[in-house]
Amino acid sequence: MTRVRYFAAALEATGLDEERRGEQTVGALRAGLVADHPGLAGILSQCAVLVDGSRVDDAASLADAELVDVLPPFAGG
Amino acid sequence: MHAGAAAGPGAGAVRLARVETVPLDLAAHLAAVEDDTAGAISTFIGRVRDHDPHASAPVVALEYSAHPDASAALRGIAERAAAGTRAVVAVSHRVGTLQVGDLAVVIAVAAPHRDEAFTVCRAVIETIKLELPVWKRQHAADGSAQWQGLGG
Repeated sequence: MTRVRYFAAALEATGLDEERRGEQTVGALRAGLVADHPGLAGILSQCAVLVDGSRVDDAASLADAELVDVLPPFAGG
Repeated sequence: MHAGAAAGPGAGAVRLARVETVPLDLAAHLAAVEDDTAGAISTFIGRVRDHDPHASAPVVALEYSAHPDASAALRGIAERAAAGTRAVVAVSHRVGTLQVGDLAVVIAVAAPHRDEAFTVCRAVIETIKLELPVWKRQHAADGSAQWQGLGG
């Protein structure tokens, strides 16, 4: 299981700070998240998914991942 | 620590880089970059303004939140901006709910000459905009609220 953390608009859309997920790839995780949290549908495609601190593409494996961050577009300054 | 005699070319340094929950203080940033080698100090202040093209009514507040690693990311941004220069940098980004006129970002950059001070200061704020893991939600006078940076 992978610990998935949500921030900002993603936190608001899921109503969760974090949860444990069992998907084995980032692509599967994205699909599973939209299925379980319909509020994410409009924003997840704009979010970066960081796996253990690195930006990865949807084919990346989550088999050994500990921490996934779902990051909406940054808006600092 | 502020002695400049040993600081040769390329000795750029970051003296302050922090995500803060309390009001930002320009004077503290100027004090942090105090250095006898500095012939120029450039500052930047990012403020909450009362309007935005995406807002349906006048803006009354911005609600900032940050990733837990944001302070480290801010330090990395400042270090990269100062690398290869003689600039010294102090930078802070505020989080929490800010009202119109409150300071969201304060940057002070001291350098031997003005060009380096301006260039490094500009690089820090532009990179903050692109890379710092901070988010803001804009609250308007009609009660609506919008996450910034999300299209559509």
